[in-house]
Amino acid sequence: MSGARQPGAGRVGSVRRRWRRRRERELLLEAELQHHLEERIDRLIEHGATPSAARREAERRFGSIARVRHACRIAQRRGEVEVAWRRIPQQLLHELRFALRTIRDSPGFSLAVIVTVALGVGANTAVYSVTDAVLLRPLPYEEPNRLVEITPAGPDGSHVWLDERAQREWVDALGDEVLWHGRHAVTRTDGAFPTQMTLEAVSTNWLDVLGVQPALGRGFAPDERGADVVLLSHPFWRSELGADAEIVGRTLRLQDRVVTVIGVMPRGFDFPAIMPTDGWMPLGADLRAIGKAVLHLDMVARLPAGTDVSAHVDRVNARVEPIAAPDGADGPVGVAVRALDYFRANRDIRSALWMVTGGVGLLFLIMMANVLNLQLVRGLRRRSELVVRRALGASRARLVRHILAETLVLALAGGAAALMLAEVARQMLVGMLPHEVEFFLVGEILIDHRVFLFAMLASLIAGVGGGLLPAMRLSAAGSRPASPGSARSTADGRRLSSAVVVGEVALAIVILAAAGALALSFARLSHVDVGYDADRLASLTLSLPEEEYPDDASRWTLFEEMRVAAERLPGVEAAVVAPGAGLPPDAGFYISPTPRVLGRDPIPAPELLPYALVPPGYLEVLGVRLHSGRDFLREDFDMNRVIIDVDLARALWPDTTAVGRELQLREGEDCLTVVGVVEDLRLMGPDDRRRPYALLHPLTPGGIPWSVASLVVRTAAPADTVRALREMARGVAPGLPIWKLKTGDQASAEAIDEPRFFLLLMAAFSGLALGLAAVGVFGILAAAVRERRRELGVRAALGATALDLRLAVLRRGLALTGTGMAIGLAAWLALGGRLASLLYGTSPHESRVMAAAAVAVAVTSLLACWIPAVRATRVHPAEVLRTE
Amino acid sequence: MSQIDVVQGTLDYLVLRTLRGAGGPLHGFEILESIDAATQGTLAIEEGSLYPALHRMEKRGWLKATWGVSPKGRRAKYYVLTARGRTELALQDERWERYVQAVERIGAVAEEA
Repeated sequence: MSGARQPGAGRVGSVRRRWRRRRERELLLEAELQHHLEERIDRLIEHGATPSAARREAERRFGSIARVRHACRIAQRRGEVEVAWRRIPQQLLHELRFALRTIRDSPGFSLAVIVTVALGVGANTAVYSVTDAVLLRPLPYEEPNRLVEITPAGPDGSHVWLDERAQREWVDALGDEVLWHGRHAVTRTDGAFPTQMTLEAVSTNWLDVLGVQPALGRGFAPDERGADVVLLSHPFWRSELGADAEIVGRTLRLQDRVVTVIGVMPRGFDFPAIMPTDGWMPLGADLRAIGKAVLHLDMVARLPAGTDVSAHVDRVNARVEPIAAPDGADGPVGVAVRALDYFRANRDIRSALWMVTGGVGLLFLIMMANVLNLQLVRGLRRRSELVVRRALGASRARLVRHILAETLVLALAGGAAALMLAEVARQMLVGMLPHEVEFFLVGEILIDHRVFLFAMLASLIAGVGGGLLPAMRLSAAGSRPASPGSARSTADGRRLSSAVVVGEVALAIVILAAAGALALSFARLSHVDVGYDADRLASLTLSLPEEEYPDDASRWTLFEEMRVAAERLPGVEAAVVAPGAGLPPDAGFYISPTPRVLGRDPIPAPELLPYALVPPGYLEVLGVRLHSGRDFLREDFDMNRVIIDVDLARALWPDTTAVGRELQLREGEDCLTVVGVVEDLRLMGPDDRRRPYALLHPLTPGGIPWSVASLVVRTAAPADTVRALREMARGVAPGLPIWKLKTGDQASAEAIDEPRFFLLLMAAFSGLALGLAAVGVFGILAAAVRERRRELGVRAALGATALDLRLAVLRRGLALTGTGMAIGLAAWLALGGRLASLLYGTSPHESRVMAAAAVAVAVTSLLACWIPAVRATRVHPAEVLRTE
Repeated sequence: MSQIDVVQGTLDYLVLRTLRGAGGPLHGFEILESIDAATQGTLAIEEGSLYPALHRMEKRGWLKATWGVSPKGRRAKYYVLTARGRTELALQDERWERYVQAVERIGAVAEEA
């Protein structure tokens, strides 16, 4: 064929050509087989058979021509007769058996790999189980992406609360399409002391909308609206009722009524997904459950098949339009819709989890590096075995498969061990989860099928990652004769091992630096001056039920009684009542205003502005220091007066005193007069990066506007006072569950629970990373000492002292470590900035952090060099030279 | 004498030997006949397995095939040993030798006194 391009050349042309070639081959094959038959027929006819009989006999002798054709086709394609894929299970079994045998023959190596993989995969699996439960796992409902949350919205789309009457109208208008639910805290009086149970009141159609069935018992029947029945959550059933299998039909005493348990929801179920719930009760037609009104109902609906969100919004809007507020009135005009897991978009929790995932991912890489090196080092010892196998005809692919199979088997064994480690880690983690993480948790942290698959996948990756490169390198080494060439292949292997160890050290530095930065940030956070005397405070918080305490005054009466009793307790200096949860970090609430001085531009809006309602005397009890002005007086209450902290004062009035001046919180609202300025006060915890100011409003004299309030007590011995407070509360109000009871120090510690948690995780990972990297350094030096025994022996014979030999090893170790440190620190300088948003008052690149990481690695490295260095001196020149 | 089934895996070896002995190209049927004649009918070869073996050896480069015309005037595919095939044959000869000797040693009655 000439060089000229054929018509139809190119992709289409080549396809056509291939097809033509295949046809040709087919025809030729057919011709060959037919020829055979014809020859056979001829022979038979020569021996006297009839043509038809001859043909039949020939075909019989030949066997199934279709099968032969098929076998020939395959033989032509692959040079194999048997269909390759049918052989795979056989092959795999063979590889597996061989791998198991080799593993058994080197138990030390195998154990090392399994342990290493178990650590790396175990840590990653534990972190994944948390991340999955918080961020990734789909919500525990059927087709959760077809569920939406519907909220009444004002004209600007912002949320509008419905009053009781409006609520009822909406429920009637939307009927069965929608799931109504509302938080419902009730008192459980079953035990020795009353406790709080957090329930969710739900419309009886809730399980139909969500598409879930109870694990035990049954759901609510439509005629059970408002009935005294309850469905329990799995964790509550386990922890409070001992996972009693006969729970269905038993009763609990809630709010002094007998409530029957009709079922238990499955493990991992949670509704609403944000916040943990102990159980669910059916909402009555009067929007009450267990005789108590449920305030603030929310709605959830399932999008009908084929509808999209906006169509559904229109439909719902059409339904509520008749009862929506006419223009200008204060009520809702329609609905806003959002996904049920909207809370997962929270930046803080995502950043923290991704940081930890990054740290544990680096640990995984270090683990793989160690496995890789372990295989390399061991492989070099098996070089002679591999050469022989190659000579006996094993193809390179076969050797690669074999070494890879070995590593995979070990890695999967490590993965199984990792799952056990992960379960242990899980139990520990569940015990120490900070409140912030628990809040976002959907269901529980479990080792479920998703986590299991993750672990298996991670083990596979570890096996392939740690085994492929050694497999390819060693199988290549096997093809070279073991002679002068082998020295070079050893050198190549050594270079690879060294590079891998340098990489490990670099990664370890990065994790250590991250942990170090977090530690520094945490230390700084714990020493922040929060503006009050946390070590002299104790607080008691109660949630007052509506029926017994229906208004501000009745609540006040109870708390005032307790306050007077508290002041009589030994050690107590003063006591004060404040609405809300009492002590920072829960002392206040958030609003998002833009504070401004009239006539001037508003200052940059803080993301969150904590404010608290405080009575006169609160500042003194807490030990808050006044900067200027005064504390509240009784009459300040209805005069729009306010106390601010010094940062806000300086921001609004940089060059003059704030006392006596007016500020406006929101457009159109009344102005507030500043009567006092306090020193920096951190109402919501020491981290004030997003909430730099504080604002205090005066409390209504003789009234508590909310059903949750606290007694805050100043005392010389907070721990003792806490006990006394409990006694006192049980004496004054025996039927009320105590919601919170803690000392100021306990509250302060809780405020930094979240940074502490993530610091502990990162510290654990960096410890592991350091350990694994040290093992890596140790391994490579030990192998080097073993390999260079002859050289060391010669040097000893030539007069090198023990010290000289040790230094030789140390030099190599330090070279590796030093290079790793340099690379790691450079990487940290480049990437560490990402961590900045998670740190308080600390820059990721602080020299203290990097120096500490470097020192830790250097010291560990030195320790890792120790044994190989000592071994180097044990080399006996005489015995080494003898083996020449 | 009754027929003996061809030991699995030796079909290739038989074919290679046959082609060596023939000195020139043979087609599939001729190879079969040759083995039959040489062993006086002792070795039973499943006819259907011959052609896949031939194709496999051709793919591996041990045999080279050309289409020609048989003495009877039919088109036929002729096979001949390649240099690689000869090397392979030598290897298999040696292996066969060792195999036979090894088998001989099993359970042999001690002949030396």
